[in-house]
Amino acid sequence: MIVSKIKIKGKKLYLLAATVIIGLVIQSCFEQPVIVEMPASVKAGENFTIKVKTSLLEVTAPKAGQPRMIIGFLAPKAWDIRKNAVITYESDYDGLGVTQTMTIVPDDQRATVGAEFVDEYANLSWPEVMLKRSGLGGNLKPDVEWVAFWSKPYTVFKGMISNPINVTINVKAGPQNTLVKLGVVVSLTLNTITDGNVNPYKNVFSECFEVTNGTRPLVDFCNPQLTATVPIQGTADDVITIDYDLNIRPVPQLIGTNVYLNARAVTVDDVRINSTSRPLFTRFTDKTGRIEFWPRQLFKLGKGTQLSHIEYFLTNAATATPGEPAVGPNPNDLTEPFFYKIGCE
Amino acid sequence: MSMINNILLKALVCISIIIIMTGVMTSCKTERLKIQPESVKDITGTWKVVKAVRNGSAIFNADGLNVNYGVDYAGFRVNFNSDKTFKLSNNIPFVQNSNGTFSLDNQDYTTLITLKGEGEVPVTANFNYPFAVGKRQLIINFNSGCFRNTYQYTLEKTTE
Repeated sequence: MIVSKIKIKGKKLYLLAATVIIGLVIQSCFEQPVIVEMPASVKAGENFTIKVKTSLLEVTAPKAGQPRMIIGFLAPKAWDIRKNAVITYESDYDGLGVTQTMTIVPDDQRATVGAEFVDEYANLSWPEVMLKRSGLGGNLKPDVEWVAFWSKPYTVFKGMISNPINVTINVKAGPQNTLVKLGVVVSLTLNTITDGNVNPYKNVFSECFEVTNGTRPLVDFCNPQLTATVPIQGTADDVITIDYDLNIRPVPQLIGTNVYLNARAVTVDDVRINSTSRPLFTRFTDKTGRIEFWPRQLFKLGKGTQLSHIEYFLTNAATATPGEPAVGPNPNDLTEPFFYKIGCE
Repeated sequence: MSMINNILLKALVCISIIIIMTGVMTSCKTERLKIQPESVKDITGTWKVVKAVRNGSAIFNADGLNVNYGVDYAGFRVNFNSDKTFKLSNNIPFVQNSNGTFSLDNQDYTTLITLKGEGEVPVTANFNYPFAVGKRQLIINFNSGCFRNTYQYTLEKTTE
């Protein structure tokens, strides 16, 4: 039995005692979910299907409450999963072949957590718990989100022991070319976040999934980029730092030479404001360097100018020169600039 | 079954400790703090940035390498004048980007400074006034307009 493995030590006495008491009431755990079916890519705006298999093990009927199964799905925010995904499942409990459709967990629903995690996860919504516990699933940019779905409430889950649960996620890809790792969480609304063997919280992530034939620029969550910006998103009144690293993608024209920033700001009305100067990166090595700028100053912005984003290239020319390299994020499309979003989401 | 008894015994011990602790904690009297009047804050003078922190990470430190990657923190000056006007030179992102007037929220326990640039909406920033390394420092916290992006500038008086 699981509780017999716990060694009680000094300060943890309270927490462990509380955990043991709750542990006697409910024990449940999901088998590690597996993605059993998923395409490698899809065209922008088209629907595709992900099939995930799991099972619920070691269930003792709870004394109170009507547990629901939780499925979390991680995808780019731009896909608007709340509107563009349908999640269904079938299990032995309802009878295999009987499809149940899940609904979105209401925003004000707080996640249930095991006693030893109460401090860490108190009063969080399900998507917040998923972000904290599963993170971004290896995606390198934060513009992805967890959306939580749940099943109907069950009187008891007893009877589901070791039986399969087949989850089907049907989702419409967003309009933009994208490389992203999608994620799935399976959980329960009872005593959900506990440790060790009593752990009805599991996650699984896909390989890098591609959306093709869509709009530019390519949003690449999977691969480290030639340039990295801090903060990730900002306003015209932030100090923006850009680092470049030619170890990630060697560009011969930029190695061991002066590298300049060729930038333009684009307003919300789609007006392009070219920077009159090309700031010089401070070089750390032949392949790395850094620049900082204040957009309001670099683009000489007036008070009321509202920016949508900043586009930039790296170049080795201090002024506009015919034939100069314009290095962006996509080695296969030299007209595509790096993209820095102005905003505060 | 002896294991279950063991667990119940441990739970009983826990509950007993909790009851005792509750008694101990609620038996204390509330002690009222004696409030000492603070000195009047006089921030008139010329100030320079000695340290700048963005989202918790230092992006400028005058004591460090003093590297300028394109934003000239070292060149920035703000003058607070006795007539409650302020003047900026060699601008960097700041609470305000144009000259104007300022006010401190009250002379005791000041924690807020409000700057109003000419033709701008007043902006109030959190403000500390510690005596550190033998000097008065002015530590101003603000955001860039995006609440996620926070800045903390540590300023010291300068005659330069």
